[in-house]
Amino acid sequence: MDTTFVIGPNASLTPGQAAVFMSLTSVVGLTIAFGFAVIGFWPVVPFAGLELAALGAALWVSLRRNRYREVVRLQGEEVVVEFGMVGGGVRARMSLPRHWTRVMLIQGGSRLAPNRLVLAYAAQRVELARCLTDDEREALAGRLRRALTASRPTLAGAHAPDAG
Amino acid sequence: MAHAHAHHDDHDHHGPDKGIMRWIKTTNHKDLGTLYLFFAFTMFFIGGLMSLVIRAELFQPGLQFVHPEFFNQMTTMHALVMIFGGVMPGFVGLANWMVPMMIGASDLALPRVNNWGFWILPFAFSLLLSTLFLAGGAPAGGWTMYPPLVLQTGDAFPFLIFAVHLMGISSITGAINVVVTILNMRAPGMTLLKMPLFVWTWLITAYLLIAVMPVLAGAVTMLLTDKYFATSFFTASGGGDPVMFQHIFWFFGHPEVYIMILPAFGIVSTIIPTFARKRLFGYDSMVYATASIAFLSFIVWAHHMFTVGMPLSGELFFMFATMLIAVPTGVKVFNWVATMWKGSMTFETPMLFALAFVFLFTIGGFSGLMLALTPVDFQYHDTYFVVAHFHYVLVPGAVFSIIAAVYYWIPKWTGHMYSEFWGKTHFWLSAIFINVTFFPQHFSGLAGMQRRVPDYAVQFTDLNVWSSVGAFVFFFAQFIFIFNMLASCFGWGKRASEKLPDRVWEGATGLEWTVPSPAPYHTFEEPPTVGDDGEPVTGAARPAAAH
Repeated sequence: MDTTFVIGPNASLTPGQAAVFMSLTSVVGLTIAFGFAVIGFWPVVPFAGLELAALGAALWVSLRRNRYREVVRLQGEEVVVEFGMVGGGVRARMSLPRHWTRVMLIQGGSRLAPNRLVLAYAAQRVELARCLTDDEREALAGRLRRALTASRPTLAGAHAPDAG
Repeated sequence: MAHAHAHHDDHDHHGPDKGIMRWIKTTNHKDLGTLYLFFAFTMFFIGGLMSLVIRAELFQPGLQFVHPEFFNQMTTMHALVMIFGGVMPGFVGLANWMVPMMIGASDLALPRVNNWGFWILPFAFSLLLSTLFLAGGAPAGGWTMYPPLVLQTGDAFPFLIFAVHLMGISSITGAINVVVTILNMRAPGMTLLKMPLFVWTWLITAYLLIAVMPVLAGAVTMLLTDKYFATSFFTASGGGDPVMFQHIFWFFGHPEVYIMILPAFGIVSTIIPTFARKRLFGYDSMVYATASIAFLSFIVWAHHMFTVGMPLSGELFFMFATMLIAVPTGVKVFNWVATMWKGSMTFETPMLFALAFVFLFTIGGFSGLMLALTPVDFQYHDTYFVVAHFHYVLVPGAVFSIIAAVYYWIPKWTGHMYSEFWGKTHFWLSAIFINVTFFPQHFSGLAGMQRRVPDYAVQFTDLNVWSSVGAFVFFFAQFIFIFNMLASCFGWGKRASEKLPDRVWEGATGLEWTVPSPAPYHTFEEPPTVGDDGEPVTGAARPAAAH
């Protein structure tokens, strides 16, 4: 059975809305700053500029994360993993043999470091779902394992071992 | 995700690091919220000690304990520590803890920036407090840093400016983080007008911070260049205008006043419906009133300087604009009362503090309305009437709301209920003695007692004795709160063993009450779906992150 997983971050802000918000904030901030500059108190301007740049960068980083997608397709005899951005097409693609692929959930170097979800075949490693939380990665690992296990040929009467 | 924790065959459950490194390295919003709150309470303690020095000196006329110079260092440092170290980090701590939980996000948008923003603060306040031990002592020109007086500060001056810059950077990082998180990480279905009021007030507060913090940064930078680089922005001898500093400072300072009260409005708007067991009356009007107050805060700055010598037209404009703020504020007070009207009210500790907030903040608001009247402000200006006014809106206002919020949410944070008996004891001592402290100051101020002076005429003695006794009792009553909260954190006492449900308070609504108590280290394993009424749809398992 073919299965597709689409992995992406949560997002409640569109680029258009972000642009409107940034414009309104910039108009307010720069009006205040240049108002003071006009009467001779120009040092307000660089601070306003720095701050708006920081806000813009934060919005840009957050919006950029919104467009990120990872698509995992279990189709036929292979597992196809594609990385890309919505509207930007596929940036990277790789294929693994479906019945030999293992799902590994690797704990981070410290207890604060995020865990890592890896699809492994022999020496090949593909890391997935860095945009999710630890718990979401755990749940995704379980679903991937079940999807891979369900498609694995087994001896009659025997249970397929859980991957990973 | 459709489900979670099906297996733990690869590793143990994830949690934080052990020991001190957990707190230094953490990017988790709950850890950082806890750090902010502990930092805020530490600063409240330090600032409180400074206020006790002030009240001890003012217990009777004459000079008893400290030199006038040190008295002014105490008034200046008390304000800076309480505003930038106590109230603001307290609210940021609550935002860190609650905003992601309330909107269904797993963390803030920029977790590393969040960590950095917090850890700036201890350095900033180490710098500021170290000035007490420098030649010439700490800054003594008032928290408003008016030139030319502040330019006479000794070695502490650059420390003050750098500390203010660091506090500003910390505030900006927090504000940007909160704004981006609220705008971009809300649960599916949670439109802006379905957000909890606390989230709304914080969104508007963060916007105010972004708008005015550069003004403060620019102002203190100009002070620095005036002192060390021979510029004359505010130096009259070089053609500068010291009155313009007051305009620039209060253009930041008045929105700053609202930065310290808008989140309190959000907290009270969350607590009152819970214990009245009714929906908040007039949700939309509460949002619009908050936005109106924020807008008006930009056009009233000169009411702090009516006596500086302004044109009559300017004084009239700022007087009427200031009086206009009473309208949206009145809407809010009306809505809180209307929410309680015919509600099934119970009076647990958070509700008591919220009720005290409504009553005492309104007193502070009315005295503010008196101060808005330009002609009479000429009598009130720089007297203890002003001190009474802003302490009524900041202590029974902002500080009581922080205390109420901690009582309200700490069962969710720790999984242990606090002692209601000691909570109520703490409330009554605080509510009574805060009034004993500040109510007499209305009268001493009206009679002409000046602020920022360590001595006073003998006729003010009785009122100052009341104030000083009240201040000492209020300060020591806060230890009940500290021990009650530590008991909840560490599970001491009789009620600690109670198994708390997810929804700790019967009337509580919102996403934060859908996660277990204590809240897990990572909150939402799947994004909750919000229904048309703004409440989470129970049983909705929307596979959003992966499907």
